[in-house]
Amino acid sequence: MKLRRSLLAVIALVALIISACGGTAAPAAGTLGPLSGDIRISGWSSSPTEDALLTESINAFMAANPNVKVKWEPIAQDYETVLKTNLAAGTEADVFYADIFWIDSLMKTGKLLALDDLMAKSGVNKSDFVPTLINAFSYQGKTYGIPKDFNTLGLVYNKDLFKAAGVAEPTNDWTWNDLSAAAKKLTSGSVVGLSLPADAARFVPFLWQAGGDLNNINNAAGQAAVDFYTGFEAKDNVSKLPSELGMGWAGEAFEKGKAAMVFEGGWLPADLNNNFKTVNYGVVQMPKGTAAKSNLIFTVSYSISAKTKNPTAAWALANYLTGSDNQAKVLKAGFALPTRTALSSQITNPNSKAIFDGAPYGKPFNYASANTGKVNDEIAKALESIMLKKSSVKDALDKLATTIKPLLQ
Amino acid sequence: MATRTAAVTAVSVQRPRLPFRISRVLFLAVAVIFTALALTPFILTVSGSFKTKSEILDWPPTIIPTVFQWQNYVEVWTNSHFFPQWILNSIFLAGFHLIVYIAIASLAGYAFARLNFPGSSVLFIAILGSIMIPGQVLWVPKFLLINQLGLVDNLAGVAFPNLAEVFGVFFMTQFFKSLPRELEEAASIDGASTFRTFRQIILPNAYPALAALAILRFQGSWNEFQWPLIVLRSPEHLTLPLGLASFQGLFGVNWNWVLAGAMFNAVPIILLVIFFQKYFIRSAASSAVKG
Amino acid sequence: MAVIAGGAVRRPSRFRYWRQWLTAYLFLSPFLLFMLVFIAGAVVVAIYFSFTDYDLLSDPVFVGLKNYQKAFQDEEFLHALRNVATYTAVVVPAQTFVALVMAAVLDQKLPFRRFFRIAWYLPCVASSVVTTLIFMWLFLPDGFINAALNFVGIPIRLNWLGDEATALPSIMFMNIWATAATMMLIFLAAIQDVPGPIYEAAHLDGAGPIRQFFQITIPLLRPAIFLVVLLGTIGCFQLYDQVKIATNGGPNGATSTVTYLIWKQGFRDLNMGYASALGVILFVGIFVISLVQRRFLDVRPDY
Repeated sequence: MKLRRSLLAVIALVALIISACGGTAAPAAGTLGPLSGDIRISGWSSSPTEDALLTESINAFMAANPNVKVKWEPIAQDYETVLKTNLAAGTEADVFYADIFWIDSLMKTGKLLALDDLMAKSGVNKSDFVPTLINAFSYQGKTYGIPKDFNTLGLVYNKDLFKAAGVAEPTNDWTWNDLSAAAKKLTSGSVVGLSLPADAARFVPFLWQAGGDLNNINNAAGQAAVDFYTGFEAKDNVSKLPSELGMGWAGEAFEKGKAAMVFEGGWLPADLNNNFKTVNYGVVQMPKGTAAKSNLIFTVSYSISAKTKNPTAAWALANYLTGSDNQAKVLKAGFALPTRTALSSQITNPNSKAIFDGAPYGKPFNYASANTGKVNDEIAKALESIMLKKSSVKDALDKLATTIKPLLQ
Repeated sequence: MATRTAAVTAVSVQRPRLPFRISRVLFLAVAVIFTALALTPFILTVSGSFKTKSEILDWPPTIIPTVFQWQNYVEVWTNSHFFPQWILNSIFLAGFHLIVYIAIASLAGYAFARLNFPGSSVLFIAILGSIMIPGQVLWVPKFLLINQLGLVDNLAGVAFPNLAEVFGVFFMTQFFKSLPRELEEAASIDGASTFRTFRQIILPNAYPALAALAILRFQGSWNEFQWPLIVLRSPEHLTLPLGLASFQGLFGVNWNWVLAGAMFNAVPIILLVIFFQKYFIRSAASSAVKG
Repeated sequence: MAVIAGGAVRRPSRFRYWRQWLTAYLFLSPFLLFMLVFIAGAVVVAIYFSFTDYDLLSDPVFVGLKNYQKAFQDEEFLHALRNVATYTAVVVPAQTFVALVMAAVLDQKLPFRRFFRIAWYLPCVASSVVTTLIFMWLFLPDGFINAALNFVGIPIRLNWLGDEATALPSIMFMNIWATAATMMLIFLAAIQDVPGPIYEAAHLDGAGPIRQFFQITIPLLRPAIFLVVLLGTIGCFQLYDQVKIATNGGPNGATSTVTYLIWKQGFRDLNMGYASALGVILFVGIFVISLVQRRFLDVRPDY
């Protein structure tokens, strides 16, 4: 008994010393063993301040693990092209950003390291993360990426225009009917209630909200969804395509006060805060459809190359960057939403909360794997032809259904 | 039209001037219009680069910024502590390319234009063909090759494949073809070797063409984006266009930074063009041709 | 003077003939070396890829002519080809014409010649990426082009790059602006080297400056014109940066070019085999066109 107690005390003391030597925001180095080696991390540059934050974090990691050298290699543009060229030659970095939009092919062809063992060793559980996010990066039961941040779509509305039209502001409990009614009342003069683009990335949540599905896009639910989405422009004249308003995207139409409501992700509030400070805006969750609430998830993970020579150090870095401390830091700086459920309570801004709360009932933006791009192209064409009154809902949908069926295998 | 003998025996004369004032005025008017079209976007870019983020999105757009935001340039410069290194890398690549490429392109161009050898036509056509295969399709094969040679993330990996640029060879070929044959004939009588003829007689007459090629290739190398983007990865190895792009994130988000960055990229070339201007002075070719 | 009719040099002896061959190959060798190592190999590999299914992530799988058959039934590809053809048919003549006029104007002894030369060349100086960004900014609905039109009384707020009808013309304009002066340089270099005595003789015969231009300068510029037209055509067929950055092939495929399609198929949709096949088809197209151009345009100037 005595021996056991003193043994425990020694172990506790040693653990204390190890963690104390690890520095302030020390990663779980103790459980992974001492780390050493050179690793490369690659991603795109977002903005100078965000890059500075990332470099700071990487330096902190290196300080805590003096035998590990991390090289940050930002890819200036065209990330997809450069990464895929490197994958073809086998020269990719150890850790790199992977967008949900195209990670499927990487997961299926064994280009990424399965992280479950390393996660277990570091005491990281899948349940620490928002389920829809971590599951998006899973394939055949294994995890291939840790989500670093994400976005969903929110209903961004112009408070001043609402006030002027005497319409009650949207809430998180809005339904399709509420949206319809408000859009009609808000359209007057040169202002339209909505600016809905002919874009799959904005339409598909509506499809799911109506209980529809891409494999049978022309069934009753699908038709109802398309009818609803395109009807704002084609029938009620309360929505206009961004290009018709002379804008590059729906967000711009909102920023310039041409549209009272748009559906965009956290990037719009960020742009408004930076460049359009006079616009008085609010964000709520997307309205509930006839069948359910639904949303699209745009997310990026830290993934590790299957070819890495230093999996433990690579994992330690990815884990550190997605750890609670680091994610809290990023959240506080206002750059991105955290992916850990525990941190949701730290989101105080109701606009950010609205975006964050879209995750639990959202689906990731990779519904057709490597063909998602093509499927989106076809959906966009169909939507545009309906909105510009060039074809009927039924015709366009039937054509669309046959075109995308082979792509959805 | 005068006979050849007459042309050859005449002394070097200046081109006849336009005697009529009307035509001169017309030409001048056209020149001014071209100048306005050419310069306006640049003037607007310069003015835009001094605007604040919000002013640059105003309607109607203003030509003179209300506040001169020198800040933009400072921010672009201090964004990364590798900025000076990027400039050096670009200079190094462009300088290397200029010197080596002009040498090999003029040699090759002369061979095609003037020397008779078997396979001349076939080789010319083959080389002609190689630039017609779109670059996108060659990125992966070239990268695989560079990787084999261990030149990834290395300026040499950018520089060496760029020496296989066909434009200069075409350009020099066409130019040498248009030189009068009398130049070489005079030399061959004196018993000079081909290389000596090339170096001492042909090249001096080629200054306008070489100057033009120099400007074009310097510019091509300085502005090159897609291939260096694929080959280079360490921040300290980047060239200026890559470095400037690396902090723009999504294109066009901060137009005033984009425009300030554009100025950083364009000014060195503008200076170079001004410098090379003097080589466009009409060569004294005609005086070398004697009876 | 050892000039024989036609300007041919006296036929050298056997030994000198071999020596000339050797000299020629020596002159060519540095360039050929780089061509062989970096281009020839890559082209061969690309052609190989065109006969495979290759998704960049797994090894290529041989499929024979499947990609080629698919291409000619691909509506997107045919649409892109039509776009490229239209684009080339407008831009090459425009570019060449503007460049010739510029060179002609500059060759006159007008005042401020040097200033004009630099000013007109400025548009070519910026990289295609930078030029595209500048024009994206100018073409914005709230941008300068609309402002200028409004200023002279045309009240339009077009979204130049976002409207199917105006997107491709906008890109045409942008490119002619950015490349005409490069061609002008080529013409200038050629014009500068036309020997003065020829003009002197023509002047003695009573030809004015305009007639001299059309009857002496232009015929002597034929090699340069061929070069400009050829390079212009190749450049048009390979239009990429502007489309990728400004319009992403849209709106609705209005600015989709074969090169953009190649990028989309190869890197976005991971059909590198099909993309390579499209590249080879494009290559064959340009090659045939340039042979035709060479036949009709590339004639040695007759002294």
